[in-house]
Amino acid sequence: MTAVPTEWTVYLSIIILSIGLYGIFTRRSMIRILLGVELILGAATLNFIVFSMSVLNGDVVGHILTLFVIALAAAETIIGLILLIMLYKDVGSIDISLASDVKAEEQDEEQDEDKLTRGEKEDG
Amino acid sequence: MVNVYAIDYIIMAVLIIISAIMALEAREIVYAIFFFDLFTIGIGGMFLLFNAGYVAMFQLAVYAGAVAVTVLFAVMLTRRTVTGKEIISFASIRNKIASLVLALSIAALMLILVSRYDWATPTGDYPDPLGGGAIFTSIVTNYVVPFLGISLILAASLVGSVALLREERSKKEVASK
Repeated sequence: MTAVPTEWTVYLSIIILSIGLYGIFTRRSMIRILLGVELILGAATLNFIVFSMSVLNGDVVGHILTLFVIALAAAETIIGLILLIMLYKDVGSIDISLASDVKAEEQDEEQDEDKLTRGEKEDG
Repeated sequence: MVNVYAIDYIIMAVLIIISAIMALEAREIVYAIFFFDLFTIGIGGMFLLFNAGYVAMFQLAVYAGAVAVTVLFAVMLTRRTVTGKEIISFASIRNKIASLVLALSIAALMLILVSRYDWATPTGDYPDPLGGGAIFTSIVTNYVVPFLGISLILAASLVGSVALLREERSKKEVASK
């Protein structure tokens, strides 16, 4: 039993990172984008563990950082899914490109309100 | 002599890459989540190969268990069709090619940088896992402040998500009145 070269894992995590980036760039579904972010975090944790075990020769700092990353990823998933459910309630779809329309509508409403208040002033 | 360790590693790496691609490319979102689960299990297996048993346990419990089930619940709450197909147009071919070029160029840049560095590899087996005790002793001695920060972030995210959903509900109640 001999250890595999450290570069292999670094190459593997670069491949996973580029797959995740490609997914984030091309998908419009919010769930797929979240999955892409999780892929990138998985690649990062893999690197932490392999550096801890080979470069640092068994130091536990990589393990601890990985535990922190896992906890942060869980929190990030919760927030992402809550935003997803709110977007679905507002727009009726989880298409992320529709989220910009929500902002535009709000701006339109504000502009309408501005016009109304101006009109009232002019009338007065 | 055939290195059993390297064969295990290659099988696991192929599993991880295929499931990562399928998690983003599968037409049905439910299958995509199953492939994502397979990906997290593969990462956990990789941790076991590197003698990081405790982290592998957390990876399987939190990622393969909790996160995957939470995403599945979100899909059940937001999907419209019975089969679970997304009613979403996929990106145009131009967009796909541009994204592919960008992702590949980032990967190529990083591969060039990584291949120039001489990475240390242990000559024998990986070092002893040191047990979970070393990890948890280190967390409560050297890493107390980040640990408390993580707990605060987790609590804040839970409270924040509940507050967001309650705000939605109260808006609806006002509208109905």
